[in-house]
Amino acid sequence: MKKALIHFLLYTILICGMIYLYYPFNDNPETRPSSQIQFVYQNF
Amino acid sequence: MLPFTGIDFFLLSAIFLLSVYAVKAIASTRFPLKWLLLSGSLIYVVWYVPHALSAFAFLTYTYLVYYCAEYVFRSEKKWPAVILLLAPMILVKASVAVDVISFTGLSYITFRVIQIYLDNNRNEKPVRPDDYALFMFFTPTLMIGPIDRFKRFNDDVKSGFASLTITNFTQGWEMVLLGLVQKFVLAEAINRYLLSPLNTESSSFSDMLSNMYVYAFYLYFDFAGYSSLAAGFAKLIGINVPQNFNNPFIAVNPQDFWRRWHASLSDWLRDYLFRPYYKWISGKEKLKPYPLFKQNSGLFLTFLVMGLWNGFKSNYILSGVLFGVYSVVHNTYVVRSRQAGRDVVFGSLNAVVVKWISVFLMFNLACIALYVFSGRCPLL
Repeated sequence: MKKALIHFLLYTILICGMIYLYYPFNDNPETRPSSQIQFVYQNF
Repeated sequence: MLPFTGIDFFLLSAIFLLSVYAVKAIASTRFPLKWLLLSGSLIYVVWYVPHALSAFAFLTYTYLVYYCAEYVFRSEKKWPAVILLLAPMILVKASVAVDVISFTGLSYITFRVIQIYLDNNRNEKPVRPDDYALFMFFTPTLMIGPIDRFKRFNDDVKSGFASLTITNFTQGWEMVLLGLVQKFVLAEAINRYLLSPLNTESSSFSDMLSNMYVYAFYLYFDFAGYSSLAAGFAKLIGINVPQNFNNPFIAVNPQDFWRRWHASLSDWLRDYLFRPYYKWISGKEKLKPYPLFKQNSGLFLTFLVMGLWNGFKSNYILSGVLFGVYSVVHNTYVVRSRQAGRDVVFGSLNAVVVKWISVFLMFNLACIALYVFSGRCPLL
């Protein structure tokens, strides 16, 4: 039950967050400020 | 197209994953998992990783150094070959010939190379070049680790399609899900709405404090997200890579923090730097009456090297120094308490209260060191 709730929460955050942060899925810098996905540690 | 940086990588990974499970179902006896993973990793490096030629040159160079040092010259001293193996990374960190020898993941691959060399038993057969190449170029961990160990990794590869179980798949998918949430939602939202608008030039206390806490959470979600994605994808194809993060902000002391934050790096430094150094310094007769100095100098050196590994810049070195000082102070406190038979700082204070004070202190000390590391501090 606890695991199912955690999964539900994670999927909800993921789906809502992705739509909110990345919609519309294009390269327009105004709608997608961080268009270049990078990792902080990738340059080490 | 670097690992986990765009939708194209995820689509490619999904196709590869489907291919692996299709081969398992149709022709698992004819195509070993190892060859599937190796060909996938090599194709990925050749087509998608910038400076792929440098990566292959590095692979050949380090294998030759390893093979010659162990099986041709059979040198008793390990340090000359270690220096040769470290040389490309040091040249890049010192900004010498960066364009020629630098490639994505050089620092992490260097750790793996040294680990193979130092753990090698020359009475056994040398590591096969194909096993060596797969370990170095394994795509999920190529860019930012986690830093795996060759023997453990190779045992997983050898177990082949048998490791593609429902349990591994479920656990792998859960890690991928967590990684996606951490990196693409939480870290992105923090970066976009909290971190980017902050003024990094301002030296007012409140601005610096905001920068410090927001950056700590951004770095955590970004890095833990990548590590979770890497470990999850590896698990989906039957490879168990070590976990890098485990709620680091509830650590009670520096030792506990480094078991929870970038654990594969701190494990590596403990095994291949701290322990050999401690063994070496323990042999010094003059230092026999100073066991605390031997421990503390080893701890400080380890964190200093960690700072230098991040880059030869003042913010990286200073953050390493800070973590070194934290560890030395904590180790001194532990040793003194043991000698006195009581807690020399908290006395007989309630254990729960001590724990929460420790968590609060460690969280803030870690945030300060990570803020220095970020290069966003206007005082540096």
